[in-house]
Amino acid sequence: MKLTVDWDICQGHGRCVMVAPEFFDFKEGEDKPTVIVSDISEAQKSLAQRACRSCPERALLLQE
Amino acid sequence: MSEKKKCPITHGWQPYDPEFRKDPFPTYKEFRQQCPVGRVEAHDGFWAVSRYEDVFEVARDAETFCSGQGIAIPPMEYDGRALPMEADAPEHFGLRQILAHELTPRAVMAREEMLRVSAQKLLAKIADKDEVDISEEYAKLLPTTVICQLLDIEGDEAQLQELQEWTEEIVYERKDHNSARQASDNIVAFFNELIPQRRENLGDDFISTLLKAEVNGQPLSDQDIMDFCWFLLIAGLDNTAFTIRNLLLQISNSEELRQELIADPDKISDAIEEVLRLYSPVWGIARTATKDTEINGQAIAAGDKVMMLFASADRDEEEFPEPDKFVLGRTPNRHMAFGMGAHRCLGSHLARLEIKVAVEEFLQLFPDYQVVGDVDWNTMGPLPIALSATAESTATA
Ligand code: SF4
Repeated sequence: MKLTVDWDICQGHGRCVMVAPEFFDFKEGEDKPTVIVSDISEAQKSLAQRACRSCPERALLLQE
Repeated sequence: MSEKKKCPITHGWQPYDPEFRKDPFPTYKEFRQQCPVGRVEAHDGFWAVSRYEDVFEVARDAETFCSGQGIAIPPMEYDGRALPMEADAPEHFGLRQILAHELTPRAVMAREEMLRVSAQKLLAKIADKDEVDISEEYAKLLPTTVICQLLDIEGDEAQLQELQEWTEEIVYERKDHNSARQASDNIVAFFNELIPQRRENLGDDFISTLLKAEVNGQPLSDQDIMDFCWFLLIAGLDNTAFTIRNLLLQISNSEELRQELIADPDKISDAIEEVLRLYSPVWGIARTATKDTEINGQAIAAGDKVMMLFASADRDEEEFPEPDKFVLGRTPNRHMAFGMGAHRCLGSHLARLEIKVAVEEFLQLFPDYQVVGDVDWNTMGPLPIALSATAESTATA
């Protein structure tokens, strides 16, 4: 599964980084997060889903 | 203007009535259930939008619902603009980016030590007292100290307190126009003196950043710089103080929560999110419709004012199960305390860190503190606290 961010929608709330620091991080000087892991395994699926549901802007997508 | 039938639920609403402010949540619930996009007569008329999904739609659509004609109802007692909030595209993005770089998560994290030292200094001053008003002597002073450091404003405590009182006058005392206007004028006078001095002596504080900034090759106008400074105070002080106060109050009300946070201070971050959701410091922000449109089936005419009730959206039962309950670690918790969309709070990462450090340091020094007597929620009022369990306390549940 692929975890992606719609950058036009993301406003850098950082909820994804709080919920799933395994997948997202804020880099120096950036006000939007970087996806550090985008290939999501079956074992990681529920955390990835949780991250998606946590984004107030609904900018995160988890796709087969 | 679209046709406005009088709504029995929202028509007579007085958003600044002190009685209503003490416990606005039952009223908001009524709005959500009976008239989610309701016409209000007060303040020249506006639409009160109370459901989560509807607030989301309005906040998301900055083209249809613009900010440039004012984000407060009634307008704030200031003749300039609250920047970058009250700018619209395309101007908005460039203005916002000027300070965005200073307020990224990493940039904010680099200030953690400074924040901690500030908090510790304030706490050292009250440590040997039995009872203190934590609102006045801590919750309000920490954000003020921090903003003064960011703006490189030197001042003794009396001056800091003055700045804080002016912003409070503007944000919370919205019934009395004269004193709010006076407070706002005081802030303008304060920066009118400071900004020219700073221009002569640039540093790496926020005011210098504004003075050095260029948008599309053009420096900011003097008015723009004033507008930024003015709004930095308004946005940066009371909201953070309000949340520090609320979280300390919440903790003192639940022994279970207190023990959990003492055992695992990392959970303070979750507690902050939940207290932000329950007591949104900014209860509403206004937009103006740029064309005839509709919200959840309600026709809205071009020029109509629309109030997004974040404090109501954040207790919408459709979005948050058991919305009135404090749930540590609630997930998902897509609250809107920092707003939504392109105008989302620029200082959220700093605010979160300030609140976290404030509460961490406080709990560490005074793990047994108790609130004394009956206090109001959802206000910036006094919060008398007995610092140690040995002091006599009559905390109420
Ligand atoms: S939670 Fe959503 S809006 Fe916030 S940084 Fe992550 S993707 Fe962006």
